[in-house]
Amino acid sequence: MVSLRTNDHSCKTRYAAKESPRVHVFIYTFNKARELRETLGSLQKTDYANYKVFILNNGSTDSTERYIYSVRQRMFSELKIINLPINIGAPAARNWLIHDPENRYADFVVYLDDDILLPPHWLQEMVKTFEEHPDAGVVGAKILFAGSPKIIQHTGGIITQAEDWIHNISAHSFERDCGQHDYTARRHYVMGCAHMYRKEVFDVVGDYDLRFSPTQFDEVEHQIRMRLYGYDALYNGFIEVVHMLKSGLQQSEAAKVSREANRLKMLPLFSEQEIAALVQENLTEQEPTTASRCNYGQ
Amino acid sequence: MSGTNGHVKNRFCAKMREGNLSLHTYLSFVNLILEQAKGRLDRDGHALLSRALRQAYALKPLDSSIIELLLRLLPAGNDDAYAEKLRRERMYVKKHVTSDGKKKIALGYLEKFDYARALDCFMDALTQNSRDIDTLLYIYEICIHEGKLDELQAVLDNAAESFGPDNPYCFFFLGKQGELAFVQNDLERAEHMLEQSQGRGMNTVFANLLAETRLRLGKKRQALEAWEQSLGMDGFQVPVYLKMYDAVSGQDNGAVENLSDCAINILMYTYNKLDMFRQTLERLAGTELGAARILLLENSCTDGTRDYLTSVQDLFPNNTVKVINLPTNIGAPAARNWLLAQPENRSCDFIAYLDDDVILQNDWLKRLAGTLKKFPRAAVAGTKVVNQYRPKTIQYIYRFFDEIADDKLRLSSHHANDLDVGQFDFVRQCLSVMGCCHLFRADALLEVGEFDVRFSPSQVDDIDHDVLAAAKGYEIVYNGFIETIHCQKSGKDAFKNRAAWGNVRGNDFKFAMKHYTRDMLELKAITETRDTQYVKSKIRELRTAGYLTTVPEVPIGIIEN
Repeated sequence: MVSLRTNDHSCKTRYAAKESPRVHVFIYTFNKARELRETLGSLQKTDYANYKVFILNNGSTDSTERYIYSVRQRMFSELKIINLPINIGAPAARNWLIHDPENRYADFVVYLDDDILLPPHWLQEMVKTFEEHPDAGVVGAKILFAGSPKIIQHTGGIITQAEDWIHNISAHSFERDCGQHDYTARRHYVMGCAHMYRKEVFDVVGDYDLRFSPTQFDEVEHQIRMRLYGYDALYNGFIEVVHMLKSGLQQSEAAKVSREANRLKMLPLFSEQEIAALVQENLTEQEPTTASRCNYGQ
Repeated sequence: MSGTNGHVKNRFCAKMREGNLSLHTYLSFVNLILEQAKGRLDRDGHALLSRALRQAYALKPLDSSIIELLLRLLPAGNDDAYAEKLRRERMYVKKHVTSDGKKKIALGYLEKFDYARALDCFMDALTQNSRDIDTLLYIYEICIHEGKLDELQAVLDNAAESFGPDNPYCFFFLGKQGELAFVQNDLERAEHMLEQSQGRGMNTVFANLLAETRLRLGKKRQALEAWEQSLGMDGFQVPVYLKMYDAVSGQDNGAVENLSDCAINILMYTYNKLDMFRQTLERLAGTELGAARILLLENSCTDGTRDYLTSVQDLFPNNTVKVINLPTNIGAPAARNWLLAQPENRSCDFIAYLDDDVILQNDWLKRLAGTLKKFPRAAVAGTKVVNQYRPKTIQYIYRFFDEIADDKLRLSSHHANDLDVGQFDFVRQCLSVMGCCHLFRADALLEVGEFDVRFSPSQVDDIDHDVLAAAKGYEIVYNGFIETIHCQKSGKDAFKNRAAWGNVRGNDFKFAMKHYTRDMLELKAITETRDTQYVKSKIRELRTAGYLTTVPEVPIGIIEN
């Protein structure tokens, strides 16, 4: 565990398990009415009771606004809708949600992208992972591309070397998924499209950084920052989340530029010593258990 | 074959047209041209070099390498008065300008930005060698930078004996005394000193300052004479033509809009700057606002701003103030868009954005509105922006495109921290004006649309928006007669720490990659052609009206001998 940063006003604590903790599930969305419908459809099947859904409409110009108000009564027992007049970008939207005064009643908060499919047991699994790992600040899932055969998008990131660290992150992207990463393990960060935090993390670590607007790396930077306050980031490969995002190769030029530019913005936020300390943790991949007959993708 | 690279030539011409060159840029052009020439100057190179050198010399006539190069460029056997003057100065500099002893130590401190120690050492050096004009100039610049004007006056009074009429730098000494008097707003003394200076040796910088001084003393005719003399020495000073034109046409005190004839909304956003914001609002309340509506967005401040704003309406008895409190900071571009999305903006003529740390002049709003009225195709008008410290220095003026490449989209630099002696007080179209105080035509703003949140938390969003407006065919107008004091040192502060620097780099990259290079090159060409035509038409009008009879015709935008 790395503890290079401290907050004088709010200290990190270890998680003390409690019966059916309260979870707030955040979704911010922009112009993806169709995918959002599928996302909420899978979320509705969640086999856990004590959670409330918050949907933030980030100034969508498609049918999103009409759709979310129709969701209101029928799908979730507890739902709050936040309808913004403009798109304020992802980091600001995440901050908007975490600053909702209702969060004082939450033990955990979850950020979900608006284009994912969840398995019913995802929430129970995540809560269980926190119980097993009381130093965890965040728990993430195995993220797959849509379609068959199953291709891995992300298994959480491990920084493998300090030099040019941003380009030296192992996340098993594009591997065929044959269950070789079905395990629970520590990571430097987990993928931000479906991940659950202990609520206190935001008191200790602070908000998302607006410089990453409109998106890309805002959640990576936040988690690496979180790691420096002594929290662990746990990857749970038994939770399979399908991310309907277009694959890396098909992504728009704008997204690539945003990624490259935001790398430039992220780099100076951490000192060399901090990154070196993370690398020295030597986070190891768990040995694959069922991967022997699997052909890895490129 | 060696020759002057066309790219260098074009950039130099563009910067000349902009009037956007400092001593440093002149010298870097000199070095570039010499490097490329490899000892053999072609005709263009020669013309370019002598132009850069002459202007560098006007700014700093005591640099031995500039003097040396100027002498070498003169035709062989030249012994006219100009050459004679240069030779006298060369001899003087060789004899009296040193860089050892205390001065060497002083220069060391200067490199570390330790101005106090550097100043002490330079003072010692001046005592040892009272005729070292270079030491004196260092003292002058440090004192100006540090605002030690009385101390500087004492130094100059003491030095007067060493720089009497027999000293070749008498004109420079007198000119600097005039500049100091100008900075201290002692205009009579400034005029006197500068006239004395001109009598000892003509210099464009001091001639321009003399003109400005006379203009401020209400002597417009004599001011125009001084400018004409200055242009007679160097006809490529575009800003001087523009200043003359505005003085002649009365632009300097004209073009105001009657605020009761139009509906204006003033939009402001703030984040944790209570003291500054309070000062900004109090000053704003004292300016002429007509019945403008004021929309304030409070970005979830933790410093008491929210409480303060509950009674802000009392400050503006004649204006409706709407306060929007947000639960979190959404950053500058998103805050601008949030404000823009308010229904009040559907029914107004003009929309102003103000930063939370500006001090405005009384008539800022009616002048900006007047500027937009005068330029009916303009989407936005902006002001000259100066730093808060005294003496007044430039923070930001008008900008044009500078370098464009596939991964590069740079705007011209802007004389940050040069003394403001009115050299940019004129009206001109450009590519971008600063976003800390600018006024939009409402329909144009709504058509161009939102500010881009990719540039969060701030910087570049205003420039990017100007580029979008220009690409839609709108004009961007700079009005240097309106002065905004921006209390935050923009730019410089941004580089204070690594994190901020990374943000600047990231946003510059996003900006460069957002716009197609081909489109930007086209936009650059359009902007520059339009500006060249504007400048040329103003010169033509001045010439026709008889204000430039002694000024030779020069091809603005082209280099020739």
